[in-house]
Amino acid sequence: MRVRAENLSVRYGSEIIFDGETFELAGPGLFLVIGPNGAGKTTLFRALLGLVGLRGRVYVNGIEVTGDPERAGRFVGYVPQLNLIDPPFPISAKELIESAIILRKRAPTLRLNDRESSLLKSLIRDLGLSEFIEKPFQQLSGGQKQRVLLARALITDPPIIMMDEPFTAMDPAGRESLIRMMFELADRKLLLVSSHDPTLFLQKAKAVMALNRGIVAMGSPDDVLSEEVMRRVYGRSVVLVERCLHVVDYHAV
Amino acid sequence: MPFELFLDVRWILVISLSSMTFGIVSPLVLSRRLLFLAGTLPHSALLSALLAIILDRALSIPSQLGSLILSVVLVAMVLRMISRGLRPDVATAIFLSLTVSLTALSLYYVITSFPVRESIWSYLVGDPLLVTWEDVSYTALISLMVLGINLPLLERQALIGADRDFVKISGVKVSLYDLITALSLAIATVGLLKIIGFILEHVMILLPGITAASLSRSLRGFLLQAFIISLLGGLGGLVLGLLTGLAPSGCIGLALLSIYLVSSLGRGGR
Repeated sequence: MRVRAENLSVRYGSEIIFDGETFELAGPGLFLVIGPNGAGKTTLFRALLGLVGLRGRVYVNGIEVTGDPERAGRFVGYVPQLNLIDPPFPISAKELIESAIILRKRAPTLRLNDRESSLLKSLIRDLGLSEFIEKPFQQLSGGQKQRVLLARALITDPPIIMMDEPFTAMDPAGRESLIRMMFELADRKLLLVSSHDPTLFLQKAKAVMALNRGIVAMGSPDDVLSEEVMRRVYGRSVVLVERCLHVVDYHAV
Repeated sequence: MPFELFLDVRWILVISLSSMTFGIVSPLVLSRRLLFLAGTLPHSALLSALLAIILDRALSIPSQLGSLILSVVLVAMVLRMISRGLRPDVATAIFLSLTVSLTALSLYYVITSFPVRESIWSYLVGDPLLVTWEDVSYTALISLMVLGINLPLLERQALIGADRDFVKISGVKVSLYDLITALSLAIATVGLLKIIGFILEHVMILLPGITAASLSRSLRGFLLQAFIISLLGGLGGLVLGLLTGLAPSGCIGLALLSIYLVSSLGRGGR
């Protein structure tokens, strides 16, 4: 499982978001994408998925997927930012997860077959969705919604998962449970996660990509999360604290 | 005096077909986030119908065909403006200004130049009680076209409205569905204008979808309920109109509004 970008350039009008970036991510493992708001984290994911116009080339598992969301989607499960998913009509959590399979069927009226139904059941069990699986998605908490979107991305069993700001609108208990699931996933898939808070993933991250309108730094967490790099990424938002106790207790994750 | 209610089978047919068509169009508009179009579509349909009358007289292009083509062009125009980056409310304002102005000009020209006052009247308020078998056939053709194309695709259409990016990476050609949406809305609104009328079309596009969205808890329930609510409102309004001697199209609007209000009360007035 491998994602490679060559000379990736993305613009929004006259604004340059990425300018000729080349990088490669090889899994399994957790890859963290950090940067302030507007740094280009979501744009990076959308560019890799072929959802925005770009120059350069993108390969997933050696196959070119540049500007081709359908081809990228065969390898990548995408969990978008929660605040971007607000269906204007009622849809149950189960229907939303099922949609990932139904949308891929040739005939739009086909439903899940026996194998797909048993896969759905096991996902519901593994991700702890049974309590609210029949509820409208709109009525779920942030943590429940995030788990539903993760299930939707996982149900087609793609080797690569991209999660954009997965902790938006989540309570601490929901975060803890989701982090545990993500760490398990990172053992067998290439998991690409964007987050404002790098500390949550430090113990598991294989590599960190720091963005601010381009890749500022990329490498191991020790190399990237230095004061010098953080200042280049976050500017004056970086505050140095001489002695800082940061407790991360995920119950032996 | 014994109670009697005369129902012509043609009335039942055109109202059923029209209601079923709007039972598809309404959730389509809501789920694809095109509610801003709900106020615009009847205007483009009325303008298309009026221009088609002029074209019929001037160039002998059949008005039914002409109005369909013009309606598709007009709806495509407003969707094009939005896809080019214009804000939907701004695009709607520009489009409304254009269609309303041209409608006023066309209406005046048609009324003063051609003896077709009955048709114009039916375009404005709907005329289900004066339909001929030819009208029934035309309504059936429009309804079967819209229903046949959209029924199997409606769930996917809604999913595009929920998460367009995810549908794209799932391999669905979203631009094709956008085209089908534009064509369906244009054909349905202009094709059923004479039966439903310009005024009631606003209600028929909005209320079945909005009512169903407030009642149901699932996508399939939402789509099914919108269809049933539209059909109930249509037939209920027809019967109400016949019983009271009022215009059926107005009664259909009131019936749909009543269903919405009752459903709101049932949910504790939320």
